[in-house]
Amino acid sequence: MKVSFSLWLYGHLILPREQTRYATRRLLRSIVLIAVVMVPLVLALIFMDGMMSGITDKYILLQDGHIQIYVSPEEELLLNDFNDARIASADQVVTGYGIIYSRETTAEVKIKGVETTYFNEMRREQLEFTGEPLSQEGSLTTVMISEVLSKTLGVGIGDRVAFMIVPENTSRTGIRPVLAVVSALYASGYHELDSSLIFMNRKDAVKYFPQRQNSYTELLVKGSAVDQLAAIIETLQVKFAQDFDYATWDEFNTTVYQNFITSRQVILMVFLLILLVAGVYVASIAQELVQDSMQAIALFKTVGALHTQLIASYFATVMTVTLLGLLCGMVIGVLIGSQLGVLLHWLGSSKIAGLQYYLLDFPIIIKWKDLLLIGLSMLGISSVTVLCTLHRIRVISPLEVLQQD
Amino acid sequence: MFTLKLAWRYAFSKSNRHRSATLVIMFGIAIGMLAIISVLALMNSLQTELLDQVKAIESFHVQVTFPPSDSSVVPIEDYREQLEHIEHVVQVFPYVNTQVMLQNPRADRSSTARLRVIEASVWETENPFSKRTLLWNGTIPQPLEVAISGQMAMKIGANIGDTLQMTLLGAGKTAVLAPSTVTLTISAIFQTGLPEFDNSTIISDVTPLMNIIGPKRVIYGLFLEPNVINRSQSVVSTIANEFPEATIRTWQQVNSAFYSALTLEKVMMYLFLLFMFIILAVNMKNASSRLLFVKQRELAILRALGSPRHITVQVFLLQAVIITLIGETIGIIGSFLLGTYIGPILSWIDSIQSKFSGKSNVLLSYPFTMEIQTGEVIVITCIVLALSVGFTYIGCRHLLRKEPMELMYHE
Amino acid sequence: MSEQLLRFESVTKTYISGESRLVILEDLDLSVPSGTSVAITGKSGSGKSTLLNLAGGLDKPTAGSVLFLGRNVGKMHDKALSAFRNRHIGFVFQSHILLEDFNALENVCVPALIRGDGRQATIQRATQLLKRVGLADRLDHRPQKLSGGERQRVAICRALINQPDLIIADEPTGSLDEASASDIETLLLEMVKEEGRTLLLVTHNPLLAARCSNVYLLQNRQLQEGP
Repeated sequence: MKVSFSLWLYGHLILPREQTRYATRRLLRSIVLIAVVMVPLVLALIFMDGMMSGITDKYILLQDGHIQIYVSPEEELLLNDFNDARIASADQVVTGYGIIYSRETTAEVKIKGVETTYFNEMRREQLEFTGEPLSQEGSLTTVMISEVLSKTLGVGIGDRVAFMIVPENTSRTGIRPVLAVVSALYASGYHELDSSLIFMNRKDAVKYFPQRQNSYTELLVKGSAVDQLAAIIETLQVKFAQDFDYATWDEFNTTVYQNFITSRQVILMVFLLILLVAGVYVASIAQELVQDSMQAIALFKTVGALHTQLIASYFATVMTVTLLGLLCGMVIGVLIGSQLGVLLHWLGSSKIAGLQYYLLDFPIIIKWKDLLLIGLSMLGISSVTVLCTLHRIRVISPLEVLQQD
Repeated sequence: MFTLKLAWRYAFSKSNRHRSATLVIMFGIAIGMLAIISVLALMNSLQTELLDQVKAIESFHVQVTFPPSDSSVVPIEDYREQLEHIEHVVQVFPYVNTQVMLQNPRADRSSTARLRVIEASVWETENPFSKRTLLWNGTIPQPLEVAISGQMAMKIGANIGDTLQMTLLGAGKTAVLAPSTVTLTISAIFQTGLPEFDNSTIISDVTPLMNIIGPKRVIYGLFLEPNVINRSQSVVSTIANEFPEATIRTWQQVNSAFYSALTLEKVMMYLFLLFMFIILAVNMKNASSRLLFVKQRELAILRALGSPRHITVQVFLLQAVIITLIGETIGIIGSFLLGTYIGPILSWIDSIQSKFSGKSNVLLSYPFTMEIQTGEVIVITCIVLALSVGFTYIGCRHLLRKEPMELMYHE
Repeated sequence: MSEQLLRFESVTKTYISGESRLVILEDLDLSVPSGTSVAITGKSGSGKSTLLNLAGGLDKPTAGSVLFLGRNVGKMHDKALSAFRNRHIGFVFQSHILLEDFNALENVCVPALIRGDGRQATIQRATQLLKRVGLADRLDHRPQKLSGGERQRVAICRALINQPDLIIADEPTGSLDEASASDIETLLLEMVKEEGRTLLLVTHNPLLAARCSNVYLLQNRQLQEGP
């Protein structure tokens, strides 16, 4: 029954009626400020999650796939062979490394030999093409290089380039360069990837990289099955009744993957600091409320209210304001974040050199788990700071109400 | 003095019920300062370390290249000698970078690599490169010898003493670039600590590779005196005057994209963290307007007794200055303390988290250092102070404009 | 003989401020029988308010005991003391001290809500009390819209809503004009009598004091009977 007094007081605090405009304005101002704090945090989170996810997708879809299964070129494993709804595509790939050079300069590249079917819908979403990928022109090997590489080498579609390829065995001496013609250009939007990845027809790549370790089946899994790679591999091993060599995408790019995790942790630590300062602000809201109600609190205590009842009411009031601000900020942040592509597109077309290290063309994804984490952290930190501030209520003596002359 | 005394009293007097508001704001400013200085100091330290590595190992402080026509005519040593005589230039190392193919017959493994052809004195003399590069094993590469990194050694399964077949592109008789194969012996394993360099680069002596590659691709890497490394414009101008046809690039230009990315990150972090202070400034605005409301009778009496309006303004602004300066001081001291003990603090946090996660965290176990730049601290201090004073003024300017009798009867 | 509702036994109250020591009350004895009205008079600064604070559990004696229905008020811990004040004491202050953000009805309801009484029953009783004091048409008026006398009436109703054993009034008419003061004094005494409560009152007004069943003079840290 005693809870009713706390609830009653909470109701008066959270919904100031026509008492003073100041009290209403104070609550609204607090909600707005907390929302203003949350908006950039949410935007930063959306950007970070989106970019990291986008970069990961680039590496997976264009370079490494989700799973690589190592088989010799003769053992072609096609999608139908897998018969697993979780697998979106299976492509035979041959890869190797080499040095590409034009008249002026050289570059170290990863050469990926694929079929034309390799560029399925999922992959085409990641790339923009100029020219016809892997179209055969004459007897020369055709390659598709990135626009970044084409600028570096000073070559375009139709131009010839040469390769030095890492040979299949070291008994060969006197490496002969391989001539190729550029049949198409691609752009993935991610400079780091584009600067070193080129594509050629698989049948040509097999000639240059005939060894077993250069050939594998590259699997892409559907979005819903991304967390089930281990289970998929197990299923495949059972299905094919053999222990084949395999690797998953995070094993290929341990450094990239670890960098992502580390960057994320750093960003979250910075968020925590900002939330700490925001928590101090929330404490000041509580402190203001208490200060304005000192005489009322003293009177409540005089007529028998417990400090726990009073603390509960004020705590609930401040946390309600915080929660409302938090939710408003998140909603606004998500709304703006969903339109982030426009700003990023503008940034991408600017000439700021440093931006090449970032991916600016990625689908906006909103990870609700991360938003929840931030929200709960804010509420947690605010709870602690507010409770510390409301300790003041304990020491307000009923005698303060009297203010005797 | 009276103004200062009044301001101090308003901020900290026990009889002033807004003392707790003062303390909360001060605490907020202290935390904010600690956060912003610490994060920027960490970034400074990481970026400085990274850029120092890049300058010392990858790009030198200044790079000078000459037109191909001049390069074929003027001996490398002549250019080198002339460059070394330029003021503030400490050492000059001509070198070439080129892509090569490596084959290790013994292990039957191959790889692409980047070859840096540079004279042995870069290892022997004291310079930023030799200070940062560790020769784990072996000896400085002599002609037809090569030093490879530990990572490269693992990649091609090589050890010291192994013979490598290296195919590189040199100036051809009929073609601009033509492949040549050279046999080299591994004389040393090195480590620089710069992952991109260690993963891909091997280092060999100039003889005879420079002749194979040709002098047209020679880059002259300059190490400068420490005080001009980041302000090398005077050196660049001198070189440009002496060699009008040369292409001169500072390390910032060579690494422009990377440097730009680091700068961008830092600016974004600045903006992000300074944003916190907007919140604190709004807090100060509210606190000052509330305080003014409570003190208006007292101020009215002062005004009635002849105190000019600007004194009242000064009192409130001084109060904001006092609170902000104290908060900032606490924050700055906290940052320095954190900087001193960051290692043990992070280790302690790591030990706690590892009890739950079962493993050490990469971030927390990194040997962070903090580089607090005085200039940055001053800038941040001034910005925060300006925000505080500005918002305090906004908070009380309405009431401050009123006449004494209005203040006296204002409800 | 009626029950001793409140007893002071050798009560001493001392305030220590830095080096100085100020004795307000010294070895003071007082008995307040149930159902009576007791007036305490004395000069300003004699310690009358301190005595009331001790009686109401707002302060604790330095020495001696304050016994309310046999229970030592000075030894109660905070929770018990709060409950004690809520159920057994009603306060009427000189400056009424109403809650500015609540209307007259809500101000009266506060002690009952704290006790945990049902909302409807509380509102009903509060309305009755306010009608009794002639504020039936002012239930939803906030203190800013009430005159001094009206505010004091609301304060009296608030003091009575929980039907406390003891009403403590500290100069209840000190800030009112003569006419209003007279009305309030009469109302207070009548309502206390109607409700069967005990009144402990501090006043400078000899006429008001004379209307109480017992009058004490607080002088030289001691109580003496009579004005």
